[in-house]
Amino acid sequence: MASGRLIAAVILLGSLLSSPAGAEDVTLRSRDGSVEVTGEFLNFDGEFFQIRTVHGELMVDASGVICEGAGCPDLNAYVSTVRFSGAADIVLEMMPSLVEAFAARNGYDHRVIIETPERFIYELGDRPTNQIAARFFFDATNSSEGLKVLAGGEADIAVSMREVTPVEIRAAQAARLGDLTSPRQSQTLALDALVPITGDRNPVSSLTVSELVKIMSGEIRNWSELGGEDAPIDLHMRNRSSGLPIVFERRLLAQYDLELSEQVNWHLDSQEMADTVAQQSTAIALASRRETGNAKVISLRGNCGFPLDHGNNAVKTDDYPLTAPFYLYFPDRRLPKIARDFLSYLRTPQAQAVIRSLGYVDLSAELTDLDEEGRRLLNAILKAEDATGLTSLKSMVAELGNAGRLSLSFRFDGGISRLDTQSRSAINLMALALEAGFYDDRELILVGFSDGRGDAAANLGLARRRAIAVREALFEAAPTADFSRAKIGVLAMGEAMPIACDDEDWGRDLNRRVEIWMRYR
Amino acid sequence: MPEQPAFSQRMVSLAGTLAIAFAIGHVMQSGAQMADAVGLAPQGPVTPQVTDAIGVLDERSVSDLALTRASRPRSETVVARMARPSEPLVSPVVAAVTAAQSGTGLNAVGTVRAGKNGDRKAGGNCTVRLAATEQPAAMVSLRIEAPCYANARVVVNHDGLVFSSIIGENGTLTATIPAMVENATFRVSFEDGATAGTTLDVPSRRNYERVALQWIGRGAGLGLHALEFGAGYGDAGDVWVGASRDPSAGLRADGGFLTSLGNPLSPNPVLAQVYSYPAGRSVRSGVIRIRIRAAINDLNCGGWLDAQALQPDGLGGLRISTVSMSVPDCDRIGEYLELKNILLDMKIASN
Repeated sequence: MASGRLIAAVILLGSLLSSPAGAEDVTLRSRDGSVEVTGEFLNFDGEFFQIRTVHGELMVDASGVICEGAGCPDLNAYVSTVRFSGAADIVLEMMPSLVEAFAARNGYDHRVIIETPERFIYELGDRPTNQIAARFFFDATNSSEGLKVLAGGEADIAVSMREVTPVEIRAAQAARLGDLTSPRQSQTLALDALVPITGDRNPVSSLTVSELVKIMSGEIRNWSELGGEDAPIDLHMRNRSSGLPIVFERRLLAQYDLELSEQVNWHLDSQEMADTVAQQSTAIALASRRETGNAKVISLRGNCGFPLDHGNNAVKTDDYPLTAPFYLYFPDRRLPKIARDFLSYLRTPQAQAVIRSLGYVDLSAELTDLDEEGRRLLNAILKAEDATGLTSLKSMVAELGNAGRLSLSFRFDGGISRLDTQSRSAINLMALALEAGFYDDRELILVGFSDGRGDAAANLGLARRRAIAVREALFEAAPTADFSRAKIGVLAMGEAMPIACDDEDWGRDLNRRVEIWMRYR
Repeated sequence: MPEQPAFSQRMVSLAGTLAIAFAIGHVMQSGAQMADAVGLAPQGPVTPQVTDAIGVLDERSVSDLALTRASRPRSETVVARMARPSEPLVSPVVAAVTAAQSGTGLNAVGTVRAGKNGDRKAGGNCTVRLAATEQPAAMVSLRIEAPCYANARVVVNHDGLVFSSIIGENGTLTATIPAMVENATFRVSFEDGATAGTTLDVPSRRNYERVALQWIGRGAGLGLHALEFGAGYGDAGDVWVGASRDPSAGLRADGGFLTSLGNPLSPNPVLAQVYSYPAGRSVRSGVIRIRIRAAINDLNCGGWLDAQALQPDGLGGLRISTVSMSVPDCDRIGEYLELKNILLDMKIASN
């Protein structure tokens, strides 16, 4: 008797496991019988039928129709498949927690199947039916590989620790995957920061940014040049395909017209790199803020003495020069519903809390009031060169004394025409919050700043134009928000309150920014 | 249903594949074997009907906890299916959890649900009593008094941490269990369906970071390693079953300790290892790498190991991950399968 039941079960599973139904005609009939289409069955994504009719290919919402014919799929047996590929650090350390939290939140049971240490599959089970609803396949490789297999059609979502390169954008276009730079095809997952680490016995505990750059490019080769022992400096870094060297090159090395030294010890694994460096007092590495292991973290400062904090707020506001957003890229086609649900979930406060608990920097805006900005104010007062500087500081304190700063900043890729990537993702987050009414009955103030080069009045004008440009971008990104309830004001502060040194390119880049402040009305 | 040769042949090959897939040895083909897999099959002197045994798996708890098992994607088609479509296919450990949690009214101390033995010894006192007391280092001593269950297999479930053991000759068993949560619940279940439960608040739990791994069966080769503050395998800071320390290490606050749970001699043993670190009073700071290692042996090579990993979910709760891992082929016997990211590393700040 038991075997008879097993056979029945196997038949059922046979249909579940078979490849998608062949080219057979089906008829989709609306539940009230008023509409009927017949065509060749192409696909079912768990939500929509795709059929080829005499009128062309049609997508039909499965909830509204009944499928008749031999080619109809078994709707209950449909298993969504989503393939992730890319940066091992994110895939191995962040994704399992996120998938499990997503499963718990949406009432799925889960099980992870580990095929190799670099390849695993999450099965999400639907509780009421005890059927597998989805399989999420994960390949832990690196950013370059993830983007490559995305272009090759072997992944649905690429996981990257850096932005796409022009070559990768073209490859995706050639593969008819659309425009990977479009906001519809990418999403910022979380933020990270690169920090220098060394062995715990190394006496050097602080470096200026230009010292770090000279170390990594091989211009400074001995710790004695930095107040340490007379010993050659061993350079360590994650391998190039991880994407992390590119972050360092783009954000700092390029500004100094320098290149990474050829004497770098490359590492495939972040944990292994931190463990290696922790034991060598002559070693230095640029590591993810989250994966410093038992190594000693070296703090960075600007050449003029500004300390560069890499805490959550400084990373969110991009006031730290080596922030590294993590990205997801996907093709310009309809992903299964559960994949879209998962991507939406990643933007929720719940998912962001999981990301924060893992030691990464989440994207949610935090509020700090002016009291907590004391250090910045103090720096600003000390740097204020003349009466004009002090006057604008006074007006800033007067304007913002009863407001708090949100941990989002906006910066531009040169000029004021194009916001940089992290800022675009900040715009999208703000837009979502605005449309959801989160800032209703509050006043947002976009505060524009400039660097300290040139004429103060001209800088004030530039700062205002930047703030206005950000407001335009917010209006554009949040078409359904009620801006009569969430007021957005603009304030120009010019060169008051620098956050980095103006005598360096990267410092001026950081200073040219728009901050967002909020007060209750 | 009339048998169709093609399908019965397929069934045979499926069963064959399954035997390999579940290297720890559970082919869930029928109700009886399912019950065996979850540790509820007839053992020793107790011989309930199969229907009684699987009756413990009530509909609700199964749907709450179990994940349907169908095929293992991308590998050979390995299909395990329960007899009735309404009964899900569950991984052995999940099933054990389910079985141990499925009783009703478990919060009181003492017998909650009598099993066959209770009926048999009419007039005798077959009450199962539990007494939980807090021990140093956020440990709990759980004393089980089960006069009618001498030498019987018992499954203990503490908020998802599960292990099996054998009640002693004298009808008692005492286990020292690391508290996984502050408001700890303990449930014991016997193969005839008898269960009992108790609760205990363990406030010292908050001073400890804890992770656990549990699995079914001898020969799995599985184990936890905590590599403390830069230690490598085999170093003094490598805490594992072969160098486990005892809870006094935690009390001295200079290192962690490993607790092994479950009696490997119990039939169909459910075994667990828990690593504890006194994070709340640590004098050291840094990272403790948590590794899962499986020795590739002739019992598990080329097959699959099923386990569950328990760790903080980062939001104040406990996260339980059900894991099936592929073990490399038998030409690699003697090597280790190492998994670095199932259990996340502990980040310790000194106090």
